[in-house]
Amino acid sequence: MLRSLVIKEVKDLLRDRKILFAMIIMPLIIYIGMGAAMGALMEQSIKQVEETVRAGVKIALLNEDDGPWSKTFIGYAKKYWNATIILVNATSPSKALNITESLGLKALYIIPRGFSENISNEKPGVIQVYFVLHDLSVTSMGLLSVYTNIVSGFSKYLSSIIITRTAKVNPAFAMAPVISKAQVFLSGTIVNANLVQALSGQLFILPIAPMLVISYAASIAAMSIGVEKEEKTLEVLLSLPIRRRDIVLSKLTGSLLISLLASISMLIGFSYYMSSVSSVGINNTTSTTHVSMTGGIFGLIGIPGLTLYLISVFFSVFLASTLGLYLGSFGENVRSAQSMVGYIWIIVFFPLYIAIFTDFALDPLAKILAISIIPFSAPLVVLKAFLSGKIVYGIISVASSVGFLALVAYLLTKRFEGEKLLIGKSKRKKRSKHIKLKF
Amino acid sequence: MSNVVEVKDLVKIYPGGVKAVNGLSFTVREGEIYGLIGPNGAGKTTTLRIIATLLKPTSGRVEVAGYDVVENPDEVRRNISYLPEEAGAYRNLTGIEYLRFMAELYARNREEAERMVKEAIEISGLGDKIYDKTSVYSKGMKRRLLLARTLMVKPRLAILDEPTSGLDVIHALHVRNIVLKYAKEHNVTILLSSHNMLEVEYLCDRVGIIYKGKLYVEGRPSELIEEYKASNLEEVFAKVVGVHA
Repeated sequence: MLRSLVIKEVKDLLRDRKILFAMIIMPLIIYIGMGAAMGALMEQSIKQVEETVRAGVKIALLNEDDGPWSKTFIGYAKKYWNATIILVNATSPSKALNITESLGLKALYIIPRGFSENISNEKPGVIQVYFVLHDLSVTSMGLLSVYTNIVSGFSKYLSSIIITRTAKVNPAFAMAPVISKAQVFLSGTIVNANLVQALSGQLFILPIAPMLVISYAASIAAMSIGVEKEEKTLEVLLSLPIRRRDIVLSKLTGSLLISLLASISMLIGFSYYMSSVSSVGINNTTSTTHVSMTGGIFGLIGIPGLTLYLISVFFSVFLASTLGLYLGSFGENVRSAQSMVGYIWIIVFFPLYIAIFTDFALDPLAKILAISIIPFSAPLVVLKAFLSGKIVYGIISVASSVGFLALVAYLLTKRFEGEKLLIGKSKRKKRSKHIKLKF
Repeated sequence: MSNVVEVKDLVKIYPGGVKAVNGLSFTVREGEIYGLIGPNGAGKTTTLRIIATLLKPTSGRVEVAGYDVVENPDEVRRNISYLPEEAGAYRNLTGIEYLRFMAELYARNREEAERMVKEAIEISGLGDKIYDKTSVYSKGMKRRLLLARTLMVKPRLAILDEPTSGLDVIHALHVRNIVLKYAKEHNVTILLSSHNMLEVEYLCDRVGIIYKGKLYVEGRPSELIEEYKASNLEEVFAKVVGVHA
């Protein structure tokens, strides 16, 4: 009997074009489309920057110093960056900038008077970099970093010259005599510090998947009861020889299955988007690190941690469906049912972000405990609890989710057993005023 | 002949204080078609919803096939099949999928479910349209599908709330004929409501006239017409409740 109800739920929801399009097809189209477009645009921008660098950048230079070290800089820029230096004569930086712009150049370097003297007297010299920006495109930002890199590159080049002249040591050694190799002792394992930084970034990304499922589940559950009311099938459904809790269970199961499909679609699209955007240029290294880190966190928390994490996700999604169905039952149709669950996003994401910024080692016990018992914080709390070795908070958090689920499920069953699901108080009152005789 | 429905001193007050049913009592005997007639807002739908276990009575007692609607709602639901006035079908299912889904909830095995579906297809008279999604059905076609769903399970009691309301002449005729034919062939007890008194006169073995939540008079249509010296049930109603058209 329950099987028939679940099949009906899934068929009815899946064949709904609005659900199919908005929840399953749209995320794929949007993310894949956005990913492809963003990837192509970024690649194009980076190519433009690379081509500009390869062809040699053109730089306007107001050389107020005209000393030996400013000449060294010009030589460096020409030799190592294939730069064309166009000297400008101007009495002020703004006038020099006007000339730069009129020449169609993107950058102006100003080497102030005393630059060479300062360096010779072992004082830092300053090179002012002005970048003429017409928009905030990725290409412009890429070029900006090229122009600043020329100056920072010159600084290192100069260091090695100074070291060679003044000391009989290897310049590479003198510039970096100590190298930090940081390690972190986390959950009983020694981990590279850079890796941990990447892992902490993963703590922001990992909860997104369950949170998406949670939001979808609530929305679809609300829709499933809204549809029954809108299409006037609820009255018959409630009069059938089936237990009310089976009706509730079938609606929750149907919603969970559809939300799972919606989330898979979303994740496929999202992964494609992330890989498209991060597979180009500078971000390449970071993204590779992130991908390999997904297994990293689960590796650190081990099988017990992973098990409890999956349990916490399951109960959070189940709780969201139940809450969605309960709140949705107060609506009169699909639209009002969905608007009832609109605020679930806040309930879901607010505790999540508090949990992200909670330090399980440093924060007060009361705060950690409070975060742990807030509904929907469980998936992240479990991860943090296992990483910090304070597993008890993970268990408390899952237990809290189960408690909230039991409470909402009780309220939901009562609502389905009662008559208010079918009749609105105000509606009855309104109708009674319009009793007319009809023959 | 035993009673399938027994309603005694039924009162229903909605939240907000509206008294929809006010001390209603009547019985429906095994195998008969009983019609509750009255104007809109008389309390017909509320009464049928209480009998169908959808609403709870404020006071009074309602039994279906010997089971109390408040104490044994699950047992009552196993004995009834209810067609609400404004019922719909799942728009994304085809007619036959809808019937199969419903049959599976009543049948003890697959064969019985298939028998029910076969019978429902015949009752509905929808032909090949039964394989179309219900979203493309007209109101009349939908009503025929829903009536077929209600009757295919051969319930002890079929509850039909305004079965022909809003239908054109052709669909209304089909529905009336099916109700009459099915009830007599399968000895199904039918409790229906209508504000179309001529329809009730044609269909029902006995009728109860209710107005403002109270039963005013009850009996065979022909007997009531004779007793009140009227030409039809509409006139009986007007005389009983003192309303002049």
